[in-house]
Amino acid sequence: MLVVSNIDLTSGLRIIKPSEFLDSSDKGFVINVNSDYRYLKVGYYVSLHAEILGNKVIPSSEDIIDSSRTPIMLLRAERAGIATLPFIVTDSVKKIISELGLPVVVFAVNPFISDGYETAKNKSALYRAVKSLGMNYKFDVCAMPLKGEMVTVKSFFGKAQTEDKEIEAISSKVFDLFKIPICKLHIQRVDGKAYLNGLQPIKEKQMPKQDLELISNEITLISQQGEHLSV
Amino acid sequence: MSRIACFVEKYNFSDPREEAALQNFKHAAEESGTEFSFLFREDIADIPKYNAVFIRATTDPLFTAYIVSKTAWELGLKVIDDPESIQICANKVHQYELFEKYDVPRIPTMFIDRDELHHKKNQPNLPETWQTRRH
Repeated sequence: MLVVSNIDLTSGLRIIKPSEFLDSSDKGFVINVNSDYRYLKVGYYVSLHAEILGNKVIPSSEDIIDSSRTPIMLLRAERAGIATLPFIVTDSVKKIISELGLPVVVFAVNPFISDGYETAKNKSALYRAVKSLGMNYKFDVCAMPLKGEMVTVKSFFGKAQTEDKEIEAISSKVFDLFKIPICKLHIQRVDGKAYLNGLQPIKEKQMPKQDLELISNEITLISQQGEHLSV
Repeated sequence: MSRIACFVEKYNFSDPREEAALQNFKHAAEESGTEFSFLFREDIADIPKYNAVFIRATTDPLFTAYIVSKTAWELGLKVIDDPESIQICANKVHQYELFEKYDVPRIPTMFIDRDELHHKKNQPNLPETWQTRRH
């Protein structure tokens, strides 16, 4: 098993730096642990390089792309039985209001904004959100109704940092589907039920030492159990 | 009757030759008994209404065209360009690694990052062709 990571993990395992792996022809099951898996970032190229070498790797380059594009992430999640809310992809405020009403949650659908979301409770706030997240209407946004409370949790190998059982279950299912080792999940709680709204990277500075220990422990566990993860 | 959606962006209609080509596609589809509609980014929710999607806008995993392609693919529609082709063809590093893997004749190529750029500029092995890695 090869662990490729740009993060200073405490694991006793040998950690290969992405730059070293990208220059290698190392064979084996690759766990790509990165703080940013977006398309064209180093995390993406590690998975791509592993695939071209014929290695099994988590996450796959396809899942990296799909999980970072909110509408695709939600479509695949819904089809895998994960609770989601209806969403639309558009750059039109009128369309959002006519199809979803207000208030709404708005996520960016562009390569430049990968952190956070905006909520809009009235028309002027929605115009501001669509303009900023759509980068002056150059890109679409992904909007869904805001019916409850937004919760953001860190997820490490599918284990959410929360006591909420329903959110734990969503985190586990999202990992089964996309195999993204490190991410944060934006979840909406409506009348006691949890709905997946977004998946985004966690910046390394947002991961304190205890997070790195949790990640390291998960990697150690996987190495002890063998390559049980289906790829 | 089969229904084909042709995904386009506004810029596809700014060049008269491109617009004429799109109208030719429409004409050819309709002559063969297929309904043909242009699908713009605000119509993405309509994808399930079609049997197939043909993408004319720039295909790149970072652009709306990928959302359209993957949505259609996930819903079981026929789609050109399919998402895997977009993933490969939009990325020169990906293409070159596959050329190497399958021994496709290729021009010697090296990939350099921003940090290596200054050093590389001082090397006297010009002329050479430079391209960004994204397209």
